[in-house]
Amino acid sequence: MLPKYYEFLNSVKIMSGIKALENIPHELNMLGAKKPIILTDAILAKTGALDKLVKVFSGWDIDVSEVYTNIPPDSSIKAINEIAGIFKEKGCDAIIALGGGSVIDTAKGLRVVIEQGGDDIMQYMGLECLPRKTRVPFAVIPTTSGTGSECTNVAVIANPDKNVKMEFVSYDLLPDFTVLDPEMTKTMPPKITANTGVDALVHAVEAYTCLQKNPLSQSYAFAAIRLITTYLPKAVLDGSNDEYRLAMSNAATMAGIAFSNSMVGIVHAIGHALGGVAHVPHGTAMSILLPHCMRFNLKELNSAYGELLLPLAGAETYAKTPKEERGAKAVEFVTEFIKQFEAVGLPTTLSAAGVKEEQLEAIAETAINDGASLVNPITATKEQVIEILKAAF
Amino acid sequence: MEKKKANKRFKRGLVGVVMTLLGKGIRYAYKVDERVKAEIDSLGDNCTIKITVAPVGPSLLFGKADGKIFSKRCDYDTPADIVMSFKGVEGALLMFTGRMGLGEGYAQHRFTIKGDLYKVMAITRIMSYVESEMFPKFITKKIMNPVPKRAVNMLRFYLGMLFI
Ligand SMILES: [Fe+2]
Repeated sequence: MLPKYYEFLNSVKIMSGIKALENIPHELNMLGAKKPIILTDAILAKTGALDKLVKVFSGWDIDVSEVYTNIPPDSSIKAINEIAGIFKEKGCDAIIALGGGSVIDTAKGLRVVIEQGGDDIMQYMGLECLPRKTRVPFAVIPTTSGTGSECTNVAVIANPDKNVKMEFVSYDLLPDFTVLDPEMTKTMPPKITANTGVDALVHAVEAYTCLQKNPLSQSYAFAAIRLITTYLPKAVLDGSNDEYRLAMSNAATMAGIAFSNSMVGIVHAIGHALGGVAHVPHGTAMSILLPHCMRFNLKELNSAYGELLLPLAGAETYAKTPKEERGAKAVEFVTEFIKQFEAVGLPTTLSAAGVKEEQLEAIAETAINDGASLVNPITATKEQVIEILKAAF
Repeated sequence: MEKKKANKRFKRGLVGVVMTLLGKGIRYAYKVDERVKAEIDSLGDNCTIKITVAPVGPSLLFGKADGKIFSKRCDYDTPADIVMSFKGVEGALLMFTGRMGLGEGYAQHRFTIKGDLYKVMAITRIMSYVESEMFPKFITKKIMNPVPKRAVNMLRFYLGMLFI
């Protein structure tokens, strides 16, 4: 059961619950921050999330006047360099990320640039190769519940000039603390709630089953799945409910911790390619691909998927299903579970998501070159990926 | 203590020998296995890859320089576009004697990588193809799923690669 060797780290302090936002100034104060820069996007600035954050600082000797809202949908080196300039010029000393995946990745990139110095972030691309420098206090407030980025050691940053994406994997990317306050995810519309929630489900399923799995990451994944299958449908129906929102934020964070330490597999390899080649949003790609990729992995992962039937479908179904049928039953459950979100506009086929048949070849070629392919239990060939894509079409 | 040191030196030496063979294997496979050729070509005409073992080596450098394939042993701090560095000799030895696959080594955090992680999958496939030529199937089936088909038989591969 135990891997021959594994590593596990989650150094992020998690502050979860009602009015969690209020505790941010205290934490930053303890970390010695006096002038954080806030990174967010234009929508959050408009919908009031930013105001709520700024308000909690009133009376504190912490200056939160520096706000950058111009974050592009794909975090890019251009934005990072620009923000780094502002950070230095204005004498900032900490980073607060308020937003979804791209805001958080931009903030991670900014911290690398500020901490490591130098003028070319490309020299720091790679796996576990960032040397520790003086730390810049870093807080993350996720406004979606899916990416888990608040607790992952990965950042992907685009370099539009060279037309490449740069990938960074390092424990040094982990923030100091993250705040899960239901107030911050309430404005998410049902469709986004559904597709980010399914992203979290994929993180948990892949973390539980990939080559890098270990008992600690599996515990987080297992518990996250139970929360997602219990609360995601409820959060989609009633987004104003604190309990549902908080449960999903916790699930996403736990799934993030799991996959940060186990990595993800073929669903993400193909999903990244769908994003790159056909611009399918990440959560949508995950929703379409998960059942098909589980079917592809089933012969290797029958017993692992069988174990997941318990948190997926609950004790009743698990006990009723004969052991050897549990893996297939888990795939069946996941297929139906995702299908229910068609009602809020989540596409479940590639054609419905606007993918063209002539793009499948390029998607497959990109997918087999994605690092996530490496830890999938079966190394898929290009032909096999095309088969999966055709089945999902 | 002395014995331990000698043991480590022996292991580093052994890894070095396998690295030299692997380098030759890559060059020969480039000639006879079109899959390997396609993967190496996909990395570009000036892309060098170094595989090394911290903190002193041995180190292997391979790739293409001015469009030509090459492989050679190099110094620990020779620069390269992509550097894959084992954290210790034991992890490297497991990998270079076919007892641990690249995916498993990655999962076990046995090495660090400096450079473009998007090129790593091509390198992984190059290694899988070459290792599946160099090692018998009872070894490779433990470290790869699935094991790629051989392009040439093992004897021919060894003869070809030794005389390259
Ligand atoms: Fe994801």
